[in-house]
Amino acid sequence: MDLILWRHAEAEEHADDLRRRLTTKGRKQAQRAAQWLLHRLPARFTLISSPAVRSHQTAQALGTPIKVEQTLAPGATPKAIIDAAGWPDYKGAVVIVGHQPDLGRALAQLVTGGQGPWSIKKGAFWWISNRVRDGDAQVVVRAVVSPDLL
Amino acid sequence: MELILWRHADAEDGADDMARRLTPKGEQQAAAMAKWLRAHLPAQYTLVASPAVRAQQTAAALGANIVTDKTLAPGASPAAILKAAQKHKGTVLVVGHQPDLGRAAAQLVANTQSEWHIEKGAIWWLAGEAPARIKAVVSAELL
Repeated sequence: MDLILWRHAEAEEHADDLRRRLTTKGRKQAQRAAQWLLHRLPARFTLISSPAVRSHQTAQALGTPIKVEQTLAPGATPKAIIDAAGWPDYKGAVVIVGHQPDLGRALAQLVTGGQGPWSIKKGAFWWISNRVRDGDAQVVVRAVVSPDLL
Repeated sequence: MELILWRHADAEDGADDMARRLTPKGEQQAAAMAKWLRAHLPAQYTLVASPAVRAQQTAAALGANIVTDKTLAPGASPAAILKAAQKHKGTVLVVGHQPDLGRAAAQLVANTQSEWHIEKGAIWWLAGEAPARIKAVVSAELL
């Protein structure tokens, strides 16, 4: 399967963390990443977002239906993220929009079995896929792209 | 330091490993990655390549001077790759082989001795000293 872990783009400050909205710069970041992804993702993919407004707004840039998953809210464990994605057995591509350091911890666990967290810039995403080669399950990092590189 | 690990693109089979040339697909992969790199590299950088023909051809797609470093030939250790890069200042591009580059990446990023997979023609862009941050990964097929 293909799994894209996408950190929400730049957001405004707000006392209520879950209600923080994207800044103008953040909306542009989300658009650029969404364009890149839409050109490369298979026609059908599953889009899952944290309930936080900044994540939902980031996900909206893809223009496809969004499934909101409460377990992806800030503080999500690697297991919650991996379970939400259906990794490793889901057939197809899944895009998860969420938070740091949660996504970076899940990535470190998926790619190296380590703790991490790995750094992910605001609005950046990691694209990983799994496959079996010579009887061994492998995780391949296919792309890591941040908005300043788009 | 910024270190960009670039695996040579798709190459033909051949009895003489060092003389294997890129396939037409490999030439396209190298050209596409070179275009992406030119758009994102700083003005000053150093391009270092393994002496193997497939690595030299991949590096040549960038159109910059190539420093050929024999220590980057197939079988290079993570320490050898890091040493080859540290001979130069600033941003360094290393064009080499698997599993060598993947081992170097695992060591620099996660301080582990595993073999991370790097696809043919792909780049891994690492920033900072160990533990390095992964700044970008781009596969030729996603360009």
